[in-house]
Amino acid sequence: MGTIDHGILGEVSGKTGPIVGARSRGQNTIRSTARKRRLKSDIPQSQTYKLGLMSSFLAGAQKAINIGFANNKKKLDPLNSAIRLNIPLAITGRKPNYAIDYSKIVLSTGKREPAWSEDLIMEPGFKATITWEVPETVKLKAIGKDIAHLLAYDTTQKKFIFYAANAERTSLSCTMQLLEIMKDHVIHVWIFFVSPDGKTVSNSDYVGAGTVI
Amino acid sequence: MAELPNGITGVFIGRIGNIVGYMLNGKNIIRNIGKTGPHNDNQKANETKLGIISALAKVIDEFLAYGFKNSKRKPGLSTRSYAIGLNKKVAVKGKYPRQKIDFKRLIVSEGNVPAPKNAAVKLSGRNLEFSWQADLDADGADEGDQVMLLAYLPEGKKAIKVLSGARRTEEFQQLQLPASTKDYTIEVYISYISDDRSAASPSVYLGKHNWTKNAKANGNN
Repeated sequence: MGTIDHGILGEVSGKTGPIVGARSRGQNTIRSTARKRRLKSDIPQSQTYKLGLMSSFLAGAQKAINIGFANNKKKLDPLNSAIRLNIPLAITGRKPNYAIDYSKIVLSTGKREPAWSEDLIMEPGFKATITWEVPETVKLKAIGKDIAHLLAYDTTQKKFIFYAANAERTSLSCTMQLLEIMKDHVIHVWIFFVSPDGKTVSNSDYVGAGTVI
Repeated sequence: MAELPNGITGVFIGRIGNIVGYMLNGKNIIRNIGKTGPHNDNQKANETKLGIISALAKVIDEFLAYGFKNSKRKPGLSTRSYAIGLNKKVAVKGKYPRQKIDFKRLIVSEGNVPAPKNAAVKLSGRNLEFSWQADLDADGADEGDQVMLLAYLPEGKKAIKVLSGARRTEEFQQLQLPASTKDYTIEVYISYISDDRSAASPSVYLGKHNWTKNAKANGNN
């Protein structure tokens, strides 16, 4: 039985049917009674490991994922959508030695024309140049001004660098200036394109891996 | 709480218990909603078929829009949904959970235009060289018919499409691919579409081809 203090418009305290009233941090609150919780033992441990691994990896790419998965019509937010998609795709190995397969990671999904012939060239001065082509069958007028979005993941620092400067599709290349501290580190690079109005994106492509020089 | 805006004989909008009603493409739909129990293997197999065909359809959507534009579809059913429904039944092989697309049986267009006769493709360096016979005597053939070409890359989840290619009478088209920086397989298809886009032909599968790394177009290796 709950009690109503100060009349019908006052605070409710206690339990009446499925409703519980309580005062929490100075606020009068009502909530429904707790549902039966799934026990930790019911959740496969492998699932927990994979979720932890993928979540912590993709969290660093959230800026890009917020763009790459923004058009997802489901109710999950972009990062959760990306985690959900990548777990079955991009985790290798056996419990407990799971690892990320960088070549299978997806950072963007969409209908825009993807990158073609993407290639990575590591250059002195801590630079990474990414090149691509445009197939002759594609209408350049429609997609020529799409902006290249690049991500590099430093496997030593375990950090992402997101580069979304003004490299248009027609420029066919873009150079990322990396940091001196990344010298001799291995990086993995991905690319996707975004329309000039920001409303449509392409699927991301894994460009490759290289050592910073 | 649900509503009957036009009375008991009208539409049902809203939710009562586990029944929900709404409008979809001009029709009043009612169905069950709410949590369901775990799915059995048959249900999972069906869901997987739908998933893999849908993913492919998303990539080649534009091609399917022309290939199935004039198919006998139920009112409100999109070309993509129609193509998915058709190919889910015929173009998936293997048993759950190891189901794959059967590219040989995949249908990317259909219609009354006679299909390309003796069509073939050769991958020569960076070029896909398509050839076929005009077959103008075939019932429904027209010299204005144009080829539609599709090269689908399963590993890259990408496709190269030509929706308005050479005329039937030309009997040849070369398609230059962008340089390949990775090894890919390509699944190739050819169809006809009429000059006014009112009809298409059944698609013809031209096989799987290996597209290997080669020199880039700009000359840099």
